[in-house]
Amino acid sequence: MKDTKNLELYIDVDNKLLSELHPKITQKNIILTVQDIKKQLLENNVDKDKVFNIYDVSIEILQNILKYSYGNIADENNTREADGDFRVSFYSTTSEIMITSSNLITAAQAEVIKERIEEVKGLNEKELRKLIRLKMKTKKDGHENGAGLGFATIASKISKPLSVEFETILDDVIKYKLKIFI
Amino acid sequence: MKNINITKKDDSPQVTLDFENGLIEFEGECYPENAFDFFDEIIAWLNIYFEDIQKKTTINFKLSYFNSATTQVLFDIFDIMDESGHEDLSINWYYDNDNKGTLKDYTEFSEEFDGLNIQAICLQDI
Repeated sequence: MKDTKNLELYIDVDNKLLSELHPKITQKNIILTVQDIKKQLLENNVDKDKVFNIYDVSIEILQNILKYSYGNIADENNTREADGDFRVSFYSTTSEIMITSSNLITAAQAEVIKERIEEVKGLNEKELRKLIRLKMKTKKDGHENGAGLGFATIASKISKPLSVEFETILDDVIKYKLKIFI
Repeated sequence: MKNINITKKDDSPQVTLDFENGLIEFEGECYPENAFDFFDEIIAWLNIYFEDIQKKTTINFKLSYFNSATTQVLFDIFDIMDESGHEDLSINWYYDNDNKGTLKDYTEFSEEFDGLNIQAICLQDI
C-alpha cells in the first residue's frame, strides 16, 4: 500500500520523470518544489508566461494542501505539515501542462470547495478578476482563509474548466482530487 | 516612530518602512505560509504612519510574485493609503515585461484605487 503519510511531488515531461520528491509538505518544501518546477519548465523551453502561471497555481494548490489537509494542526509557531500528492506534467507536442493533486479533507471543507467551484464556474478571465475585486472589497468569506481567492486565482489561469472529484473515505474524511490544464 | 526593515527571504519580500525619509518599499516575492501574520507589524506601522503624517512619501511595490492571501493584504494597504487622504504620495508599481501578470496586477490596483494615481514603471526601462 502506498505510504500516504508523505506528500509526493513529481514533475514529468512527456511522461519522463524529471523530478521526484517524497517529503512531508511544509512551506520550505513548497519553496523548493516551485523553484524546481520553474527551473525545469524554463529548461524545457516552455513559454515564460505559462511558466509564471504554473508557478502561481502550484503555490496556491500546495499552500491550500498545507493549510487545509485533514488532521494537520499548526504548531506553536503557526507552521504546519501536510500529506498529499502533487504532479506537474508537460506535454511538448501540445504545449499543455496538466497539474493534478489529491489530499484528504473534512466533509465540511468539501462543501466549501464545491461552493467555490460553483462561484467560478463558467466565468471568463474578466469576470473572474471582477469576482476577485468584489471579494477584496467586501472581505467576503473572511480574512482568515484568504477570502476564497485561491480558487478564483487558479481559475483565472487555466485553459480548460477545472475538474474535481470527492471520494468518501470515512464519514468525515473525503479524498479531494483536483485536475487542471494550463 | 521606529523604522522597520525586514530582510528578504525566498517567500517573503524585503520590506522598508523608513519614517525619516518617507519611504515605504516592498521588493521580492511574497507567499509566506501565514501572510496575515507576516503583515501584522507592517499594517500596524502603516496605520500609525498614515494617521498623522503628511510629509511627502514614496511607496514602491517591486513584487515579482505574490499569492492570493497577499493580494488581500495589498488591498488593505492601498485602502489605508486611500482613506488617509494624504495628498503627497508617490506610489510606484514596478512591473516586468517578461512576466505579464505583474502588469495585470498593476491594472487591477490602479483601476480600483484610481484616486491614488499609481504609476507603472517597467523594470526593463530602468
